[in-house]
Amino acid sequence: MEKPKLKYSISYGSDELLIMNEPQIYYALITLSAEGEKGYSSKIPKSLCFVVDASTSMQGDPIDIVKQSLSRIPKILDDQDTLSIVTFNDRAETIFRPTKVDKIQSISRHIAKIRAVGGTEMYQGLKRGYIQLVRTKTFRQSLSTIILLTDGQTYGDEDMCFRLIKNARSDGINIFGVGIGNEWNDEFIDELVGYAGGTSAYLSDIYKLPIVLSNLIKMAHIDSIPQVTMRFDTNSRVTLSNIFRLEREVSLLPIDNNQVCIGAIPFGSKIQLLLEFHIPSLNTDEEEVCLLNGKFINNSYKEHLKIQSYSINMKVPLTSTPKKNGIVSSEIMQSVFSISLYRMQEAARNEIRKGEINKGIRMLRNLANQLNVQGKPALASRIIEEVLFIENTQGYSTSGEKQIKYATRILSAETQVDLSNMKTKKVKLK
Amino acid sequence: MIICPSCKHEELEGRIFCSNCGASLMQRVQTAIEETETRVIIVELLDVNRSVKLSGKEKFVLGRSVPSQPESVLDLDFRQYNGFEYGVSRKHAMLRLIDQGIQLIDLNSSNRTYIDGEEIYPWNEYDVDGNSVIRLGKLRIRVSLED
Repeated sequence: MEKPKLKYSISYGSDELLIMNEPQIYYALITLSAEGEKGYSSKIPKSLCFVVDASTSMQGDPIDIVKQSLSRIPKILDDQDTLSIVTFNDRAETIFRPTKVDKIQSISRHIAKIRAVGGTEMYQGLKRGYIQLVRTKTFRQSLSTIILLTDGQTYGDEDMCFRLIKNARSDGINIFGVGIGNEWNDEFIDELVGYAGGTSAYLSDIYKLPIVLSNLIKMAHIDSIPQVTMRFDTNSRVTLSNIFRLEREVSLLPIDNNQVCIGAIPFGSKIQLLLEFHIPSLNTDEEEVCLLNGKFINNSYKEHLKIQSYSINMKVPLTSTPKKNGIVSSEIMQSVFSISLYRMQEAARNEIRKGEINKGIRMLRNLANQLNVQGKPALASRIIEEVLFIENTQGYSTSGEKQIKYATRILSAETQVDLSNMKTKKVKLK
Repeated sequence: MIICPSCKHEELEGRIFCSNCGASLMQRVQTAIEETETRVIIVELLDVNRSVKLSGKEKFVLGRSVPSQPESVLDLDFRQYNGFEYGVSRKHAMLRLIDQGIQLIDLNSSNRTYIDGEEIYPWNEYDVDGNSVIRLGKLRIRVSLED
């Protein structure tokens, strides 16, 4: 099969960068797509390892539903796929060794052994899961994914988890995270899965776990160029401060040693990356400034899945005269708008954590107002309800923090800003 | 540095939306390169039966001066209209000219701002016209563009 091609295009925030004697922000948008013969990755066997939190807090419905859901997994996998299950609490245990789906006879009796008791040492579980995948006979011929299920927080081993996942990434392993309930550390999980180009899901209702797992497995099976990474250098004066992946939801991609894992680029759709550059004060006679030099590669060490690397060079002309037209392209404006609600939520959350309650509340009210403007009154009302709770208790409710975060994350990408109305936002009265 | 026209939050040049209130910052950029504002806002003080004209700028701060506060920060000073008794704050609200008309922004006033009887959120922009009765504390005003 002919190898697919990665296509990309760049939209710059403005045609020219204004020379200023103060720092400024500059946005650019990269649109990525995969082209070529379909079936490139979908025909390749998948190897899935479920890494399941079996700590005491999972007792009751959570662990029972997890066990029921895991029992059904073989039915939604292809025969050629491989499944393994490990659990972790204070230590890790292999519940089900890597087995090809068509060879699985009885998984239920293995799963029945799972007991929820003990602490939450995530590194132990991830390491065991990683080992299961790399020791699988078909590892080199398959696409491997860890699906992490947890309801708690790990303490002290976070850096070890990060290192492990970075190693896993270089082995072409992807990771998805599912956070159950409200006590798990979403920021840690987001960063962890982000290093391998994965995403996290928030599961407030444990009974929805089968649907969430089914969707994750579908994602793992999407025909795509897997594990695409951008390695880059920036001009010494320019900092690439943030990269957001805009897909069905907004994800802030962690930047690790001048590389960022974008994840799979599916055939038939596009992935957009919004880059936010921090430009220092410019006092130069140069005609242009180089923003970024880099290349797209895919991480897979499996030769048959590797694509050629694609170089990317981003530069923008400098000017000392502002133009009236074309200040910011509508495409960039749309993209920046799509992340703004999520970022407002993040900013409010940070203020409330710092004890700046009034500031945080004001931001949440502003967020609710923006949501009303965008015709999302239900979420706006939920935020106002949360504001009242915070005013009374000086902190978020058990579910409020994550509900608002994940709702704005999805919403942000769906929300379309009405550019024609940008100058006069009609704000509804509360 | 950009000052958000809606909430006064400081942002780096190049930002497109305010990280504090979500307002668009593009208007500021466009305004900066547009010609000087020539439109006139008429402010009717309904409780004292007076009208005041505001012109030559894009934004007008409404409030009530006190001896310790320089009057120059205010474009419309309600001190002379018994602003204290009506509960007008020192910097109460702002009127802003936009292409399509006038916007009102409450500047986090103590006694709040109301449009047609409904309280508005501070730092957020609300479109107003000659049909809206605005209340600054208890002081009722109406704003419109001069023909």
